[in-house]
This record gives sequence, C-alpha cells and structure tokens, in this order.
Amino acid sequence: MLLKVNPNRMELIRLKKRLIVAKRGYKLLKDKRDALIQVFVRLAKESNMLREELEEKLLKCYAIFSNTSSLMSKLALEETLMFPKAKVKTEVSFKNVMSVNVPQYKLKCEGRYYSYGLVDTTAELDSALRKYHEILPLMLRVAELDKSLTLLANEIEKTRRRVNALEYVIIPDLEETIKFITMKLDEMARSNTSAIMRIKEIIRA
Amino acid sequence: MYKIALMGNRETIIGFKLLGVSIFPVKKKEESVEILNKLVKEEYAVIFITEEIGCQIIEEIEILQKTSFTSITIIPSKSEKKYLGLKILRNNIEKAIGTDILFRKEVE
Repeated sequence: MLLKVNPNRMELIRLKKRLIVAKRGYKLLKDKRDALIQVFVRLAKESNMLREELEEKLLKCYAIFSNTSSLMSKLALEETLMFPKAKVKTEVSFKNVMSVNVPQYKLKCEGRYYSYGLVDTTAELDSALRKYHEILPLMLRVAELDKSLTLLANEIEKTRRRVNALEYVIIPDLEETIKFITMKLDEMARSNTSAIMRIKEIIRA
Repeated sequence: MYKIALMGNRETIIGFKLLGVSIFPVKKKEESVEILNKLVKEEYAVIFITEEIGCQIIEEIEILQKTSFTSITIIPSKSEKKYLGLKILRNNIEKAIGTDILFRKEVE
C-alpha cells in the first residue's frame, strides 16, 4: 500500500532514511526472536523433565504423609502441626535474557522443622517431613521455570509480531512509496525538459 | 526476602506447614480467587496451587502469571492426576513456537 506523502525530494530523503532504520530493526529483531526461541526451547525441555520428576516425588510424599496421619491420632497430628518453628523464605534475583527479566529463586530455610515432641509423634512423620524438605528446592525450580516460560512466550509473541509487521508491511510499503516518488520526480523532470524544448521552439519561430 | 505460599485442599498441603510455608486451605472457587488476589499483592514470590483448585481458577492464574511479579505454579494433588501443569506448559510452547514440537505424547 502506498503511503500518503507528497512526492518531493524532502519526503524521498526522509523515507530512504526510514527504510534503512526499518531494515536494521528488522534484522536485530529477527536475531532477538531466534535467540529467544533457542532459550525457550531449552527451558521448556528442562521444565517438562523437572515437572515429571516433581509430580512423581510429590505423590510419593503425599503417600508417606497419609501413612503418617493414619498412624497418628488426628488430634495429635493437628497439635504437632500447629506451631511450625521453621521459616522458609526465598531470595529473588533477576536474570536478563534478551531483555526479558527472568526471576531466579533461592531457598532460605531458617530454624529446624522438627519442632515437636517425640512422645506422640511417629517416626514416619520425621521421614515425611524430610522428604517434603528435600522436594522444596525442586518445587522452586519448577516455579521459576514456569514463570520464565510464560514471560518468554509473551516476549516471543510480541517480537514475532514486530518482525512480521516489519517484514510484510512496513518495509514493502516504504519500498513501494520510494519507487513511486522516484518515478514521479523523474516524470516531472521529463515534462519540464519537454516544456522547455517546446518554449525554445516557439521563441525560435 | 519473600515468602512462599501454598493453596489447595487441606489434606494435600497440610504436610508443608511444619516447614514454614504459609498454607491457605481453600475449597471454593470464589474463596480461592479472593485469596489469590490478596496473596499476589503481598510479599509472596511463589504461590503453589494444587490441581483441583487450579482447574477452577485457571483464567485468573494465567492473567496473574503474565502481569504480576509472583510466580504461580500448579502442583499435583493427592486425589487424581489432571496434568494441568503440563497443559499450561504446552500452551506456552504453542504460543511461542506455533506448534507443540517437544512432546507428542498425549496428556489429554
């Protein structure tokens, strides 16, 4: 589609500059898209693997914990669980992947989680808690990957739209308009020459 | 330093309590949406949601995952496997690459 501009030399210069910028932007964005997809595929594969591992391990944990709760009286279990002494926190840092800020979580545990008496609890509870404790870093890693993948997918979509807009709309439009202006200017020059030639003939006669 | 939260049905998540994770037992949809919105505004960096609750509030989760700072992750629940986490992953892959190129096996 032709851009709506006046066919003169000023516009021509302006459009040529815009075309150069558009081409450079297109190349850069294409590189960005390719790099993002590369990172994305790597993370997606890892995420898939870790998620399967997590689901398997968590189900095992749940099973152990059910075992525990069936061995202990409900009241005793509630009592045990009432006052946790440990605190789990996470430190968040950001990694820049192709201008996407991807979070990274680091687990910080404070205090011991065996915060109950030994009298009314079973040994199964200890092992269940240990299993839960072991699984936490994996859970955080999966959360980190989930978030990263969402952010990256959005960014890839956005970049791809930009690349497509540049490739199929903006650059062809600019090229067509530049061609149109050049033709028009040439045409004007030709008509000018012929007019001068005619005037010259009239004067001579 | 940020905290970690866990939402879901009580039996599934209660075991995490002694580790110091903040747990929020929920049952109904409205309740979970409300708590989720509240948690996102507080200083929680990671929120885990069990599958059967996650299924019900999937739209909210997707929006918040995109817009907020918090990472919201689905974990399986005790009762049945629904593969919701994998589905979200596949959706993301489809959105980014166009097709589901990584895993061809069916998890429907």
